Amino acid sequence: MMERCPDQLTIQALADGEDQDLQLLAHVRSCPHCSEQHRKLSALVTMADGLKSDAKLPTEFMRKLEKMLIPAPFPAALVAAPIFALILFSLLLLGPGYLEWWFSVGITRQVGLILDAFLDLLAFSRMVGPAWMITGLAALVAMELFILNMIRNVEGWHSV
Amino acid sequence: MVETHSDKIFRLALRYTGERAQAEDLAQETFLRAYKNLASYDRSKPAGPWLCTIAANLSRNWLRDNRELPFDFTEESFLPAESGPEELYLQKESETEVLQALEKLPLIYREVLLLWHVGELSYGEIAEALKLELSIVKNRLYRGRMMLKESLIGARGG
Repeated sequence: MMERCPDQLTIQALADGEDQDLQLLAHVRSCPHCSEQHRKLSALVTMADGLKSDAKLPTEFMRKLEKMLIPAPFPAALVAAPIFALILFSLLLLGPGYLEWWFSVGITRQVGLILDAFLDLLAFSRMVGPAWMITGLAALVAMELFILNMIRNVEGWHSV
Repeated sequence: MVETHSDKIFRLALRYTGERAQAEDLAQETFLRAYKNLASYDRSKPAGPWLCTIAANLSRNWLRDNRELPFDFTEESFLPAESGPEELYLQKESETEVLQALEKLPLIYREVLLLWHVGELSYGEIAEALKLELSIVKNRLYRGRMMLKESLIGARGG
């Protein structure tokens, strides 16, 4: 049994459900003074519960928030078109007849890697902004030019 | 996270500001801030108190910048949507009274009351949100409720 009556704040914690000490609860139930305090404090809690509200957000809130949180995916076609245009342009730039040679030897392992990177970049573009997309694109084109040059140097242009 | 907590955050902001449109903006800002600061969120803890803390900070800033604005007690948004006319009248009476009484309380007591009764935070969570000692939270909650009661009695001429 508790020897002394608990203070107001302890009884309040009991009324709020914050303190669930069984010994305290037993005392409050059996002590007329504490029981009265508990009743008064519970009434205060009920009164302050009048601050609660049933107000709900409008249904379009979620839609508006989603729009702000999730950036619109960068259109894949808009990315793909300049990439292919740049690849085509760089192939033609390397010399006449090079494009034919490219198709004649088939897709090399390096080109496969570029295509993989390109597809990864497209998937990644759903999460990042256009600036990252363009940076990735520039890196791919640079890589592609480097590999094309390397292939040309190894194979020799005149062997086409 | 948004679907679970959005209404509660909105209600908290509504009680702080007394303006539906402003409360909507604050709720939106709360989730945008939360999204930007997801890295700092401890996922082992419930999200509700974290979001309530952000909402309370934003609401406090809003009050600081707009404290000259009177509280709009007639705001229809305080009322639940699915109530009958009589029920609506009674709710409006009591709710308006409680809100008017709340408005008279110093912010330090009002905040603790709102975080407990509207935000449904525990003593410990309120202490963490407001960076206060637990004993101070208990004290402010007790005094806030007493002041609210006295203010209500005063308003009713009791």
